[in-house]
Amino acid sequence: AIQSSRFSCVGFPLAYIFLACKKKSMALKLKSSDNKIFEVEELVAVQSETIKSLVEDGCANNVIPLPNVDSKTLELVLDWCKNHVDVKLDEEKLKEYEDKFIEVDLAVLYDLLMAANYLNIKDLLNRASQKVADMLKGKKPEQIRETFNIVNDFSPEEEEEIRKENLWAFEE
Amino acid sequence: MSAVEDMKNNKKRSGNFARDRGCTLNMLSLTKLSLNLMQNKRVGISRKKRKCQCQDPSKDWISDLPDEILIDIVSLLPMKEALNISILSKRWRHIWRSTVILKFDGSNKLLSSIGNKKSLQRLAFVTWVDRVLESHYGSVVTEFSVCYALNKRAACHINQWISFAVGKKVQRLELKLEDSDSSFSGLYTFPSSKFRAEEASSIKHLALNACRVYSPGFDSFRSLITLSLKHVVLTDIVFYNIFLNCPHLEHVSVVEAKKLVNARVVGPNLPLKHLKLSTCCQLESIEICAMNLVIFLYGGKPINLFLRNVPMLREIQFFATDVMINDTIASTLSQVVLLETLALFCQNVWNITGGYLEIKSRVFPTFSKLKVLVLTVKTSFWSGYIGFPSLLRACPLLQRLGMHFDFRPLDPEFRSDETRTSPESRCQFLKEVELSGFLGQTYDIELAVYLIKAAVVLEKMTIRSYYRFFSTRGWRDCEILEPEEMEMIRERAAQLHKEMPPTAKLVIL
Repeated sequence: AIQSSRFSCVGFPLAYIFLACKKKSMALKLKSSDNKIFEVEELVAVQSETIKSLVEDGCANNVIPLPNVDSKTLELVLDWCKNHVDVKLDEEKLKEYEDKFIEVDLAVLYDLLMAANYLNIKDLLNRASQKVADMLKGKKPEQIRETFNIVNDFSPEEEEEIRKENLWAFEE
Repeated sequence: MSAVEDMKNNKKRSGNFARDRGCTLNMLSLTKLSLNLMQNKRVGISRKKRKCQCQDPSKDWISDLPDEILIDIVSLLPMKEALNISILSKRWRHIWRSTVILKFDGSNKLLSSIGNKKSLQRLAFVTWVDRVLESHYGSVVTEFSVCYALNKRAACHINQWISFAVGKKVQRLELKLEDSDSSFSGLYTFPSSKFRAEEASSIKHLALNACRVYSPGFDSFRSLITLSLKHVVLTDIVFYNIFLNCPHLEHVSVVEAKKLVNARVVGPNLPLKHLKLSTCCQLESIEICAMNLVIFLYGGKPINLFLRNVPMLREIQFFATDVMINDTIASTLSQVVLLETLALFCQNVWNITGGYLEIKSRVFPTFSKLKVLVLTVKTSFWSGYIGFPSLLRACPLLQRLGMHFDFRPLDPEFRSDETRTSPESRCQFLKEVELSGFLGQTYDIELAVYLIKAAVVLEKMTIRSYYRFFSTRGWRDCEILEPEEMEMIRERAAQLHKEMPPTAKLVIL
């Protein structure tokens, strides 16, 4: 970290070497919450804005600890990232991949949302949010509660009040 | 609810979050950094809590998500459903108040009601929007859309909604006020003159449907990237000024514009890439001088088209309701030197203006770079494929050809002189041919055989027993024939297998 911050004042030759190294897309080491080390290409990892900022500030020379992502989730997330740098995949194939990727149970979807949010991976966060929104769409509140195991903690009076409030929500 | 508010603000910064954090921590050690990341708000719940919940299928995972993610999710729902969510549980009660996308869509409701009930429905809709906006307390709204048949009588409400959206720094603003029976006379007037440039500067995407746009048009909307106008009253001068006053405008679509007569898309260095003009009943001419334009679509009656300085133009889709490839249009189009894709909709491809012999001997100007040619043919006076061989000759680099027919000649035994004989010249690059609306009659079998012979490197021929057409809205299939009839057509098409070269594939749909 200290070295990289010096680059700016050293001038042309060192900066040049630095750029040349960068081009080769070095491997980064990521450590999951359960202490597993993942070695990934920089190009793949920097789709996470969080990791990208570490790399840009030269803090990525050692192992990067990701204490909020377990190895199972990290593996999935990295698979997503790999498929999103692969320029060979056309739009149709990518969509196919994304649709298949996101077909997971709720617990995994939760982990993916949390990881995408923490690592700040916009497209994964959007896709996972979309998945949940699709599951909510067109359903009655009772159905939604059942799907997601949501416990209704309103008293009957409170519920009635909200229903009244929502009456103007353009219902029949 | 300040916690929600706080989360929201935090989220707003999230784009810059990583960067900011990186800068401030530049000199710190890595350990310290990860500690910071752990403590950051973006991390929802602690690890301990999660460990014990491991993989319990009956657990309520979703409600455990932090507010910012829930807000993201609820933002993706139409407003009505977002409100329904509030009854799930206390956790979900107020999430909708912070949504960053507000979409009020009541269009399907109105279609079912009539007369007096309609005005009551309108009132209910307007009141609903008013109340939601009153209760909304997010500081930012990225998308705001209203889709409901409203006219100038609701103007004061709509104006307030727009002010609300602009106040929340809206980026995408959509007003779809169209009613199926709305005339141009009752249109709501978009209050473009009320905005100062600094107010309207957040708006990047603007879509207006069923509005009236007076001068000064979009002068204050300097950040616009896309502009879509449908069923609008728009004069020549307002249209012309759009391109002068919006220096970032890349996509423009104008459909059903009344009062637009001479459309001028002219400027010294327009960033415009995509232009669509369709069904503007009074339009007489289009003049385009846009050096970055890539795609141009036109639909409507025949017009005078002037193209100048369009070095990037690659694709033209032209859907005219009358005779098409006349000499003027053909020569205009052929001036577009880099043209790679050309889609033409024509009543009659080989334009019957003048005598038969005149057309037969016509030489088309050369489309020297053209790779994709799509012809949609709809005609009642079928006179064969006159001029077709010379059209093929005019496209020496053609790789894909699509022909979509929607007609039946009176005489099923009809044969066309042009495709009866072997082709005089070969298409050296034609790899893919698609014929739809294929009826399996003598004349279309002959056309298929003609193309198989002409295309020496043919890889794939697709034949559709139903009519498929490419409109300004994209591809559409229409299956009007009975299933047995389509089966018969497919059987007839199957006889083409013996004509195919061994390297090419015949697909019959």
